[in-house]
Amino acid sequence: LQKGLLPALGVPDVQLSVTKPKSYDAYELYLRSQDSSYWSMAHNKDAILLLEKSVALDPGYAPAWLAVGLHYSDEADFGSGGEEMNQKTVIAYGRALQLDPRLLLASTELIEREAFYGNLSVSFARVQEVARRWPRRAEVHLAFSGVLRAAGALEEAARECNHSSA
Amino acid sequence: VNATTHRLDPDLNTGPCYVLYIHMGDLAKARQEIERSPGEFSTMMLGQVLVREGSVKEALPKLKLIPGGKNYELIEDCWPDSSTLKCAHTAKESEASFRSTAFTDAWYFGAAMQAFVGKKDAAIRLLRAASEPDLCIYPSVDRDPLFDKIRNSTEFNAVRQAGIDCQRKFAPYARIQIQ
Repeated sequence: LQKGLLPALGVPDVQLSVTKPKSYDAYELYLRSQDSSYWSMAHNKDAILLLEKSVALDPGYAPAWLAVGLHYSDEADFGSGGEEMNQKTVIAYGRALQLDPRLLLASTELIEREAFYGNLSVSFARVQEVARRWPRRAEVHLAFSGVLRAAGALEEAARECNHSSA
Repeated sequence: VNATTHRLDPDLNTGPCYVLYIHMGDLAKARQEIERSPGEFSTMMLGQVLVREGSVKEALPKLKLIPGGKNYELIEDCWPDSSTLKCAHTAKESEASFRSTAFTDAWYFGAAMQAFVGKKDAAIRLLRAASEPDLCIYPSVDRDPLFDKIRNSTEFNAVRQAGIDCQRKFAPYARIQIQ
């Protein structure tokens, strides 16, 4: 579903989860936030507003926490969010993982945040742990590439991205 | 062990890969990866590639897409003449904008832009800030043409050395292999 049917229907970023939406209104807000127009910095804060309302109405739906974390992350890194937004990002990913430990994207996003927000040693430990749980997953190799880049191991990072042997 | 991102999932958005290739100085490969990952951030990173290739005017509208760090304003006000008061003001704002986040990789790119427009002190401050919480800026700084104007300064060499020390510190971790 996640790799075939949903992208074909034009919803490439929906995360499948063991948690299920319990509020129609919250789920509708979440689905509205998945519109591609919200993946631009000009509309990032609008997406955050939708998703904050969604998780307030239904705090048990993990994909909504992951989605708000992704938008917080963009605001922290490329907008006007700063450290406060970074903290919100980490809390949102943590909440998503607490509700659904199988949300791989929440784990890999946390790894990259640790690598580029001053916890490089921790990110190496976490990427190994995540790789053990999800062997042979491209997302984990991509996150590992980011961690290696932060460590100045550029050739090793390129090995993880390796395009030429695709 | 040799499983890699692209082989495992050819459709995955590979943002970190094109950023990596810019760090490696492999701009052709960065362009290839950017084409595979259309979006606002990748377009901004194409702007970063274009500046490194010397196509500054072409880069400007692409840099404008991401407001954080004020790269667009910095280039607009400081390139090719960084001696104006307006440039001094914008360079200060750009540095402050980068420092308002704690994202060390953004600081690296901010430092590169400051160096490109000849604002050595701001570039060194951002590089130093990125290095302190363990972003290993070496060998990226050696492969990045935007640092050419400040490469021979004592301050640059000091912060470069900190990058070498950082890389050495994490060398054992870099030998880790995952499945």
